[in-house]
Amino acid sequence: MAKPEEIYRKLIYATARNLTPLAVMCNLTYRCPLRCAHCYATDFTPGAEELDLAAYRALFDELTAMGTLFLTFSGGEPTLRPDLLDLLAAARERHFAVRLFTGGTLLDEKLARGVGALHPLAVEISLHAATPRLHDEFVGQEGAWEQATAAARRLLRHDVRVVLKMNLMNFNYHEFREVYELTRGLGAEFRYSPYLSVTNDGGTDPLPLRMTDEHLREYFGTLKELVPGLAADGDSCDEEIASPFRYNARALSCLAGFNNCSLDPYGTVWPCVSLPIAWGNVREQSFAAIWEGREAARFRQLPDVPIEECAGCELDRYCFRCPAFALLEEGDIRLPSREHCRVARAAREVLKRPLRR
Amino acid sequence: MVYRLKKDELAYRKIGDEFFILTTADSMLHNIKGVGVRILELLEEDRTEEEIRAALSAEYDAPAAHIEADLASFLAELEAKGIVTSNES
Repeated sequence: MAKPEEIYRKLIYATARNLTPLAVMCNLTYRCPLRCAHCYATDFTPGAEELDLAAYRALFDELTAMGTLFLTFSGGEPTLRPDLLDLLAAARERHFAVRLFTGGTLLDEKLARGVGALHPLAVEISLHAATPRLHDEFVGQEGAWEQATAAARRLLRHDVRVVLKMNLMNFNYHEFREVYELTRGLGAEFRYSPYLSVTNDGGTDPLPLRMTDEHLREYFGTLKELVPGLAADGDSCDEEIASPFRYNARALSCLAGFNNCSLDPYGTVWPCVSLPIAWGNVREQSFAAIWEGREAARFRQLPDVPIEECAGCELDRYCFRCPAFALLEEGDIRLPSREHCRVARAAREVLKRPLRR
Repeated sequence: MVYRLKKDELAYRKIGDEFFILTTADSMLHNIKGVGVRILELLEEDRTEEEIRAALSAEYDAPAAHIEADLASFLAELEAKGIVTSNES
């Protein structure tokens, strides 16, 4: 009998080969009560009307017919949608595996109970520090940390799988271990990322928050301690570094536009939330027409492994090049991402040999 | 025995000629192929074990005893994975 990871891999590659939209992310709104300085989401058409429940139901019917299994609701803050539970119910009636990404500040008992009753695959809550004040200052709202952790507890009481997510930045990297331990203590899962992108219109406001090389080394040192055997077995290195990105693992992220895509709140379809290359709008065309249309075909003509500079690179085992980083920072989706080179360099330096303190 | 697909707790899709099923309770991904796909389609229609057996006997050229044994084994496997639930009635 095949192992779950083998089934998953088979599913990913089969759907990419057949151009089946296996995973679709719907940014339900760009409205958000928080003001996180690293937020990548740009509202390209502010004031436009968000897709309503009827439009999403029609979309979900199409996606069901086309073979979509994974559906992610994100934002903005999706819990600001008064019809969120209706949207979740519509998705679950069609047997999608649904994830909800949230800041957690609005997830009260009633909503947690409603979400739990619909059996989502997971609710993923952003938590950027173990120290409440640090998180609150970063997201720009007093009490946000308490609300987010209370939301996690509520959801767990309703048997919802909860993932706490931390973006490693220069102001919080030193709390990596504490957030990991906090997450374990709650009974939640932990996901984390050392990568920080520009905004998806190329804005550089988040960049001053990036970890320095020294921060990265310290982060990888902590990671090495938390995941015994990481550096001892080179073959497991990729897997262990990739594990925080399992949902959006290397293969899947490289397959943006091939077996996954995203929709903005107004119905515009993009190959990925971070690749604002408009393929069309579901208000004007069916999703199928967009997915099989000219713009999508043109995007897919880009070679998927084109990068001469990356071929044979000694950092390859530590690198998870993101096409969006290449496009937004280097100006060409086919180029190496220098930020990923930098992170990979720190990973190799630390994970290949004992950490000196 | 009556088997019911635990639809509320599953995410699933038929892609190509295979079923991919996620049990949300444990986030495990399962892959169903071959005759199993037909059995799942019948379970989706809330058919009883007897009705499924009759449908398979009509559709497949195999001895009834083999179909009965294979079906019982497959349903037990689905139950162990949390994909179906059973009761006596």
